[in-house]
Amino acid sequence: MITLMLAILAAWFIALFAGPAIYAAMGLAGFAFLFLTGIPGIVIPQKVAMAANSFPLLAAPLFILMGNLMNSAGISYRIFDFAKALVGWMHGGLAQANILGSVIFAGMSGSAVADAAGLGTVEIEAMKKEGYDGATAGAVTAASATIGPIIPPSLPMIVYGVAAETSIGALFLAGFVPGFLMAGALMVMVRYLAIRRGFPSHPFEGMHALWVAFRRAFWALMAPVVLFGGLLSGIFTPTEAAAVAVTYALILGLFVYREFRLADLPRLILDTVETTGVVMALVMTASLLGYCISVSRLPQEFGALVTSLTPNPIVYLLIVNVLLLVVGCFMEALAAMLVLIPILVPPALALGIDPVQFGLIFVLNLMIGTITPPVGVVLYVTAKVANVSFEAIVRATMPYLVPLFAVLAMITFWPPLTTWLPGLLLGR
Amino acid sequence: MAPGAVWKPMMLRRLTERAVDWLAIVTFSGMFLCVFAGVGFRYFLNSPLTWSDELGRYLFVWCAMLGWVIAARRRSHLAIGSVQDRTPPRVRAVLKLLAALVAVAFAAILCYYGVSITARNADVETPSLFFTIGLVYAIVPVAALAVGLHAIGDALAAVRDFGAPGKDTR
Repeated sequence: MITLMLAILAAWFIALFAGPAIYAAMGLAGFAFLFLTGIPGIVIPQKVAMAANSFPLLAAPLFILMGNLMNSAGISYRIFDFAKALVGWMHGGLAQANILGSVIFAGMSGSAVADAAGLGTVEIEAMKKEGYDGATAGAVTAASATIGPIIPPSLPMIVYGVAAETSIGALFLAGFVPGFLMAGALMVMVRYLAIRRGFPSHPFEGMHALWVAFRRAFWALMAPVVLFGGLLSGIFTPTEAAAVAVTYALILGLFVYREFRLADLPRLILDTVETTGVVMALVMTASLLGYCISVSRLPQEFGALVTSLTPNPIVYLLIVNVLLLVVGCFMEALAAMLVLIPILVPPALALGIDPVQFGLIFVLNLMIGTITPPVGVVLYVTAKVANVSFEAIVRATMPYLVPLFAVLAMITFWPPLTTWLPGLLLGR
Repeated sequence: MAPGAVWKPMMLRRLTERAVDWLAIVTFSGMFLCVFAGVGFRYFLNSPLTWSDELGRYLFVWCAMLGWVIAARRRSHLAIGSVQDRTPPRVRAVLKLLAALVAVAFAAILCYYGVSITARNADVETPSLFFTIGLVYAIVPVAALAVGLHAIGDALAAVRDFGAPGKDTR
């Protein structure tokens, strides 16, 4: 059965390059396994439908809605202007503001693509106007968009938490430190490149301008505060915190900034349901395929192989890092995550690796995968927004991979970076 | 579009699409209200509701399946398009046809088994609600049918592309 499963997975992986919907290919792979092993096909709708019958997973559509509402509430200009007033005087000012803006936006949106497409549009436009070339503007936007799913809320972490049976609240908290480290490391890289290549910069606009920009952005800046308050206090589960955050975003858009009206809600909800459908089609069919993978006993055999080869968790983490980076280059992040979780997580637990640390390593690897060729969703989006070729943006993004790899190495070798905050607040 | 001049199957299609959209909006809003009510009653009124989590989850099943349909209609399901983009038009049309057939096949499988699981759970009661698990499952064959129809549409478009390469209907 293991050979069969491996053959099916290999066929599925290759077939994907012909361009079928990933979920449909995943579902057919699951069906092929069930058919060939004689397991009744009725488990197909059962696994598919019941994958959505999960209260923690319900946080996903709510956070997608929150991101859509915040984007429609016209917060991107307010946030970017505030970031510009705060760090615009540094070397490569707008590039720095781009990164800081992404950090703030990361606190309200859980998807790198949403970050690149929403805030990214404003950032790239402003940077090009100041004399940056499109590729650089797009590259900074793409690199900083990977922070989005590391700082909570985070769509990939919700999916990881559900698929790997790890506390989503703990994963969320674990993302803070690595997220800020990524921002810091990227800002150092921008400074270095700004001095070498002479990125445009301008003087500090003064405390008054900063105060004005802060006041204009105040209610938008409070959105992450509301969300984190609920999460950090430990009172709300992520799903409940998401509902509260959606309520806040609704009030913000409808009554405070008045950028959308009640009549716009059906459209916003439909867009949210569409994105939910894209994500859930993967989650639901992956749940079927995951069931098949566990029936095939592939995880047990793989786990035995790993423990016989190395008892050292660091060695295993390095192997996982390399594997995920390679897979992340060729595969869409969510799909890769869902297929690899049932195989890679059990050995990690057997080796005594903290499940939360492992989750962060997993997610960060695949987020780096979204900005590496040949399959890099975020690169495609930013190339389109910046109006440059895919090849140009790939080249321009290369230097920004260095700081991201540095953070990846740090969280791999030093567990407290990810385990300290959840331990402190949740008493794990 | 004037009501009198509409070709009937087109009208049926528009009607079902409208129905899917509204059902999606209703289930999504219901789901949100369930979580919201759950939070409100638990933390602010100190009298937790027994049914809100469960109803929210079932609505999520419906909403996810409906989202699946809407994403199929808008062709936004994730796929690796980089190979297709680099092939000549006729090869691309063939790849698109194959891709559409994969979706048709899976939709057919899901629909077929979806009917039997719905029937099998028609009288299995939910823990705290008035309907049966069968109703939760009922969306699976319906949504699969709709996804399958959209995929058939994609397959036909790919065939047309093959006949008239260069005029990409996507």
